[in-house]
Amino acid sequence: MNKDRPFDVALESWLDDGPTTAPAGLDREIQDQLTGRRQDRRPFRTTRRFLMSTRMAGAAAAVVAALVIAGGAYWLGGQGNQSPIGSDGSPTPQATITAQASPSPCPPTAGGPCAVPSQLPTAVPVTDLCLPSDVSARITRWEGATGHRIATVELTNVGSSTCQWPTLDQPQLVDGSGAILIAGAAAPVGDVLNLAPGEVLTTLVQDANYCRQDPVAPVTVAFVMPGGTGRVVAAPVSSTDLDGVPPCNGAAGSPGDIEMHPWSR
Amino acid sequence: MERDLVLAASGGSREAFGSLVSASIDRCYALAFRMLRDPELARDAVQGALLGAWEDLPSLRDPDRFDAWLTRLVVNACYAEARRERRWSAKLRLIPMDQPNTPDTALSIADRDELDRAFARLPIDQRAVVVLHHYLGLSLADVATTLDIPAGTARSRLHHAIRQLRAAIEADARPTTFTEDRPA
Repeated sequence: MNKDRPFDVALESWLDDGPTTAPAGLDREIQDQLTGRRQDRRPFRTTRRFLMSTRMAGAAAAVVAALVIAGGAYWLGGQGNQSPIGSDGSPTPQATITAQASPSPCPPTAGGPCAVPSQLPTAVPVTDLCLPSDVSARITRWEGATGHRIATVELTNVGSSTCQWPTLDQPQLVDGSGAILIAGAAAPVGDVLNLAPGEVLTTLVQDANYCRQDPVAPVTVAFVMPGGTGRVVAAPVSSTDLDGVPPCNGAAGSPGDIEMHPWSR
Repeated sequence: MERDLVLAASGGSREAFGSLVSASIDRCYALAFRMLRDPELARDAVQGALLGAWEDLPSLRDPDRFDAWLTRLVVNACYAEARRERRWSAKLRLIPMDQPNTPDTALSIADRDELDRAFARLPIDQRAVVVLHHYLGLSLADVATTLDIPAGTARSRLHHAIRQLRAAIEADARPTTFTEDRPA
């Protein structure tokens, strides 16, 4: 290092030496994704907060009821060692409707086809959600990046009525045999988009690090809806397509990674 | 002008927000790149930050604080990208081979390489303070406000970061070699 120059100045010179403009197209890409994104998500946050508060209220009520019952039993000279919470002391019916993240339905292995088990109920109003038979998904293209593969996916409402589609699902990379090559994280309960008949949503699914046995063509992606209301498998680009299989960047057998952007119009 | 755009965007105008994106995207990318030192991660961070900004803009109480607020979103997005990046056991490092190889009298290539390596070893929260202070030129008080951390924490992070970077440069007896980091 040039010793006659202060370290801070050298550091700032090093920091200055880098791009000062965003990559071409990023501005457009972001603005395109704004379409269909809503700003105000307070109703959903309110719902979640409400569910949390009712759970906490239920727990508090149970504690109060237990204290009252225990105190009453003690006061009346009942057995002090009886269970403080009687059958009527657990007023927590709300617990049956709490929102819970769906567990990953399948391990990220390249075994045989993995059935998606039924999942827990969620706060999403199920009656408004699209059924898998209401929609059709297809991959329009795969792109490669450093260690990643990115699918552009379209989802169309092929039903006859407007329904709601969650902005996030659990993405999976699946092969022609139905095996789940990589399973993403279960989607949290969150926003939904209204999807009119014929309307199309798009998303990007990015996967990386597939270090297991060779998959069977064609490789495509699937989406497990929050709340276990269904799973949609996107039509592959072609019947022989293997472009979505990412390179192995880790140790043999190490788990892969798959994520999706929120669906947008 | 920007205040009007922020107010309009906060009210739901995508056009106004688009103008804000166009005006700020270069600054956001420059910041994200310097924190993450990876063009793809920086791109993802900027995208996540700006889309998050659109969704959360109604929660911004003072439109005059938009720039600082957006800076914090970018930094937080960089934290998220860095956490994601750590999951990978191996990651090819990009070296900008197409940049002109201009001589620099202040920093030798060896020094730059040492800084690259040392900076990559810093925790992401220390990198944030270094970049905000030495690249964006924010005072430590403004860095603390932007990151929503106590001023003492900002000072401490900067101190530790600079000490490590300086130590890396001063212990630069190692020969210059790019080979182990070159993409395959």
